[in-house]
Amino acid sequence: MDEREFEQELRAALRPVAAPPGLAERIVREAEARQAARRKPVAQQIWLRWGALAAMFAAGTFGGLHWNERRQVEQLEARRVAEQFTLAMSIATRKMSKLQRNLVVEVTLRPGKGGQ
Amino acid sequence: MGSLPSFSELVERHQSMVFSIALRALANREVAEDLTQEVFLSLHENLASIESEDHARNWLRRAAANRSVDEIRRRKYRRGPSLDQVAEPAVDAEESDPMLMAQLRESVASLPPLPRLLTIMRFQQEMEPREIAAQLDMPVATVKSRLHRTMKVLRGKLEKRAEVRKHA
Repeated sequence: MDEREFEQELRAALRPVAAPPGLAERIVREAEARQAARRKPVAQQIWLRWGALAAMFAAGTFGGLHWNERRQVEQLEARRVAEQFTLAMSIATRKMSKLQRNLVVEVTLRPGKGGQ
Repeated sequence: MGSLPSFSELVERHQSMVFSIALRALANREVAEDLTQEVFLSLHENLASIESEDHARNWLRRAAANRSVDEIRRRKYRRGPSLDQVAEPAVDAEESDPMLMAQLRESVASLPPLPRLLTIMRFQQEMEPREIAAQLDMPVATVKSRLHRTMKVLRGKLEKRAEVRKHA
């Protein structure tokens, strides 16, 4: 067998064959299934991302409002306590002054005492 | 160049080419079918980068060749039944010399991965050495010399078998 004949025999032996019946349909079906499977998680991921973002925003907003409200309440409470303290101090001061005046008058006016 | 047909049209038109490369490279119909499917699914994922039907055909041919080489190497490493030992599908009754055809296919299937694919691309796909070289990113001279050596090996194998039969 010369070279040319050998190559012809090789061509015949390796000649293309028809694909098995149904292979094309299987491939197209599988490609569509994979594409659908790829799309779904992406859509889910997008919704999840937006959901997480919205939840973070809501938590931030409500957290901020709550913190602000709490701070105002604490400020009011602190002011009330300070006012009460100031009032208590002023009453105590007044009482002390009155007591001191009475004591001075009593000591000054007591007979037999004070060197007379 | 030209417009790109739909994916299902590409599958319909080129499935036999991909399947033929895989079948002759792997000598196993089932594995060849799986490989064909994987090649087309990969094309489907890369469809956005395909510009024309010619581009798709070349892409498929290259993918089929490269994946066949990978599959042959993977099977060698796995120490499973060697492809050389896998029975060739039944001989075609229409072939002029079914015994010679079976021997040739068996000899091709026993070649190392790259020479096997070069032989398939040259004698099944009727590609010129420069086309094969472009497709497989190899120098043309390398393709030519490896094809030349492979032809010598295949002829040697065939002659050896003929000798054995003559003495048997």
